[in-house]
Amino acid sequence: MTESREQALGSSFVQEAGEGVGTVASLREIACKAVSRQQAAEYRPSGESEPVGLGTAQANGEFDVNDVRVPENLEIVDTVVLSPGRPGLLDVMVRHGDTLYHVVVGLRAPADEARFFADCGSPVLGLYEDSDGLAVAVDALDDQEMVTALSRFILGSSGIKPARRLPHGLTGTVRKEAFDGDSAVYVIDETVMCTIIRSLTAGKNPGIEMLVALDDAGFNNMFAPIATWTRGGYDLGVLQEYMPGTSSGWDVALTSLRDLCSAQCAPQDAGADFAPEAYKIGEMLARMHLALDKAFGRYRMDMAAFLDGLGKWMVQGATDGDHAGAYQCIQLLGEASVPFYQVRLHGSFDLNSVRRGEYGWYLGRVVEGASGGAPLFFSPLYDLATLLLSLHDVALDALAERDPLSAGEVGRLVEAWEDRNGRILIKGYLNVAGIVGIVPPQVEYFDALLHLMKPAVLNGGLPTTSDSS
Amino acid sequence: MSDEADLTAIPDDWYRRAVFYEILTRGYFDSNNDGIGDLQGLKSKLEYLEWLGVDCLWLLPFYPSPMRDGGYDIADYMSIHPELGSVNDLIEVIDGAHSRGIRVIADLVMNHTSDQHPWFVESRSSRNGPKADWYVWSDDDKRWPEARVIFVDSETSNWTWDPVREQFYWHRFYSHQPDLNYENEEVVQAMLDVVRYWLDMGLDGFRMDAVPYLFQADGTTGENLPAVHTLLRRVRKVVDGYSPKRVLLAEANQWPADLVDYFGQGDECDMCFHFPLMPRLFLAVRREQRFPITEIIAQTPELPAGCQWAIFLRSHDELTLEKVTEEERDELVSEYSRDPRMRRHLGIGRRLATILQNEYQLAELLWALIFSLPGSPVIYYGDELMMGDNVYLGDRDSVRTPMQWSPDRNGGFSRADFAQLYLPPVMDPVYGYEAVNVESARRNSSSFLHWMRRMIQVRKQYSVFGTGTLDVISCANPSVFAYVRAPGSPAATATAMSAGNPTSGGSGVRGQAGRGPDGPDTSQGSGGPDRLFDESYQQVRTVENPVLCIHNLSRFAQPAELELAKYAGWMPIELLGRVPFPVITEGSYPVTLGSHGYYWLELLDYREQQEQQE
Repeated sequence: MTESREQALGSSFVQEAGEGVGTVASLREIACKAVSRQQAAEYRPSGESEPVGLGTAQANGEFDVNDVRVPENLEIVDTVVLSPGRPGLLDVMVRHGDTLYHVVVGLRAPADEARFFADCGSPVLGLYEDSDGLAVAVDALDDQEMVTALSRFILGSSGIKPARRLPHGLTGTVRKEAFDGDSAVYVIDETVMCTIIRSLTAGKNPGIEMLVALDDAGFNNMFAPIATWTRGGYDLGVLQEYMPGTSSGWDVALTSLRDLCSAQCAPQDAGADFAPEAYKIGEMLARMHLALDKAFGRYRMDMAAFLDGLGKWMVQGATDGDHAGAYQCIQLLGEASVPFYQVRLHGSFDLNSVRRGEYGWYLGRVVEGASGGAPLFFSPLYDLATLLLSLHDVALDALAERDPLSAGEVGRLVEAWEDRNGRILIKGYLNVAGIVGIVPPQVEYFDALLHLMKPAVLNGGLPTTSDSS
Repeated sequence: MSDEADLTAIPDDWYRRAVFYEILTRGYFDSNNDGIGDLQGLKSKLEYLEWLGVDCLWLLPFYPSPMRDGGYDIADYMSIHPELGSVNDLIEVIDGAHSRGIRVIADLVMNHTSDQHPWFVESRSSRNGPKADWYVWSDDDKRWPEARVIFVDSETSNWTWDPVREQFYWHRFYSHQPDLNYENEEVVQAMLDVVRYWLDMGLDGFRMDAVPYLFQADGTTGENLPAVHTLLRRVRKVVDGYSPKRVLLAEANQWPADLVDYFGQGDECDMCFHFPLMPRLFLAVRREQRFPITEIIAQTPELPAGCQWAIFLRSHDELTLEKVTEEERDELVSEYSRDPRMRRHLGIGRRLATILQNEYQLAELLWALIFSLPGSPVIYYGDELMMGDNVYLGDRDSVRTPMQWSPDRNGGFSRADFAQLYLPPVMDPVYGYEAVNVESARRNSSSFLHWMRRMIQVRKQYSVFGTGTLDVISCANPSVFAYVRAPGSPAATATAMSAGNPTSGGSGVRGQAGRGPDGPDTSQGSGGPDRLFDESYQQVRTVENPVLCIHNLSRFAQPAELELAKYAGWMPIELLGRVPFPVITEGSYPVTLGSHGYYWLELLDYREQQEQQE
């Protein structure tokens, strides 16, 4: 390392360590800074719907790790040395209030050259000392080498599927795919996706549980899990196969809409007709539901409770949907004597939940941290409804891109696009053998229940308890 | 004036880097003014082909034939159709091409002959004669019902009744093209003699027509049977006895998983046409998504060492849509051939220019894909000009009209009377010869022809296009297709570097100032970007570098963020203009592309220079 670079690193450490340069921090202080960085990753300036990122927050003066003071109700729950020595990895569970955080601390020798991700602010947490001597503690999830090492650790942990063992290991080209206070997702060598859960839930992480269950049930349209990382009853992370070059369903749909709006013809005549893709997405969703049924079972749905709850919500002022039509559906379903089933669901299945790759459609990211919520059991038509609403949303987005003066004409095209692809998506869904065992086989009940799922989604959730009891 | 080229100095796997050019001899140039192109005419145009920069000519069948299937119905394997010239004429073409560093291969139709071939005439004359068993005969037409009819427009069965022999004979193509019976060793030997005959004349190889259908077996579709591969290995053994290396290029319209069988273990064909890729290129630009292309690439297996794909946009046949789904076929037909007259068998009978409605930008994009994807490109004669077609001519003649050389009479193809021409030239206002011709295009440096020539030149400078690996780059935008062609094995790289290219006169590139050993000294630059052209840059230039290829499949401008962290610290240099792009960082690399735009960017390892600058 050149002298100038060493000096730069050294001065950076001085800057970042703030007051008490040279003061060795306790693990609790280190962990506290890591947790506060994690919380700051969720920082949203007023009016913004998306977090701006830690780097920006820091640059704007909204966050400074040196200002962090350890609160009394912060406690270290568990610490494990994943990799001793320098560089080393320390895995820490920290409870702050009701939230259990998972932080990974990287320990570097003071003269180490580190490669941090861009726009991560300052990942240096302070000076630390253990049996191996003095170290610079860094937030490992912002250190590229540390992330690769962590992935190798997970790869070597139990739960690995022999058939998916990576013969060449991980060589270390790593990039962030997604990053927030809840979880961090990395892509390594464009072949492996590593998700680290940052905010923990007791018991199985619903996303990891669903991922493994789908894989075991033979569902192929996903990035298969390679290895999971669990400790003390908590899911801490997962490695999955990764396919580079996929595009989200939203982007593919938007491409289709833009083509249509420009071509100004019937949707089926447009070059980028989305119908074949819609059909395949429908098929994929059905296969996923069948796999979830196989993995978690199916249960009788309390239709009366659902209808009652939905009716009350609508009376209270639901703003969307055809209320007259909804009330008719409520009446029809209320009089039905056939059973309706619920299965484990994805829960927020939309065009951004699926990705188009070389071999077809894949389930996108399913693993989240604590914000992902509890497992969801409900009618499979709920997922179908969220997907159909997503078609509506992307259609509106495409319309919004156009010249308002042409809104009438283009609006009709876009509406035709939505209508056509919605029908074809349902057709693809129902075409999968076995799906009518889970969804109502009677057309009128299917249509009615699907119709009711839309206001259920729009009203912000489900009116009944979403569990498997 | 070109120097004599020494073809022996070229590596044996020359075809992996070559650009092929498909020629219909009777449609190329008429030297004797009888209205039909001929071999002497072709010889007189070798200068143009050398100027264009192609490496190998593929001649469509030139054998004697009743011409009921464009010459693929052969009546004599050891001669030349009198309308085209003589064997000596062919030898002159071959020698002339070789002197310009261009190779020549020709069609070899192994599967069938014309019903006018003496072998068939003799076979049908007697059930017991010496050649009775040279074709596939049967008392009824019930056998092998699983074998599909290929020419669905004109044939209803693979069996036809012969009133002379009073038996049915088997034909996978037209009824006037009876299939040879390769179960008979005499037929095998006769065909091997044909192979030797033409290789002795100097041909550099063969395009093996319709090889999947050489054998039949009960309970099968009669395609890709093991016996086919056994026979091909025998043919290859004969061909390998010749030096310099000759190439076998198989025409097998199969899915990639089946196609790869035709390479054997590197002991069957050297090359195969990648048929399934071609319609997917058209589908991808229609859908404005890369997935039709990436899907088929993902399904394409690795090749044995020394083997290569042949990739193309159009050919003398219809744009075949066999290897797409029913739905995709409907999509392509509705987009590219709305008039039923344009449809041929299971495909579209149109030239590239008319398929694309003369959209030059889109044509450039498709050729950029063909020139940069793994495989050796094959250019159909006239497509370098964006020649049009005439769908009112029968069958596949729509795409076999005379080459348009000049705005003169008959497009400069022939001085014969118009009525004598084998086919009329294209004469409409858009594609007609008065507007679209070699002479005018050569004069105009902005023409499509010059663009093609330039692209061929650039492609030749980078052996990664021929022998490199393919690494698809992650990009969220579905309309953008990006990949890196990186150097293959060190052995392949060394071979490419040491042998050079005879048509460019050595290991450097003629005419590229500052980049070859004979170019002007540009090592006197000062700091900043000029440092790229100093001595260290020159050294870098002799090393094979990866090339990043980015294509916008949409007619709308598109942004893209490419995941290029693997190349962090490398500098992209655009190949055509040599303009440096911003150095790649570890984050995603943003690019914007215009409508149907593309970039070819050489990646230079700039990390050391960057550190020095710091």
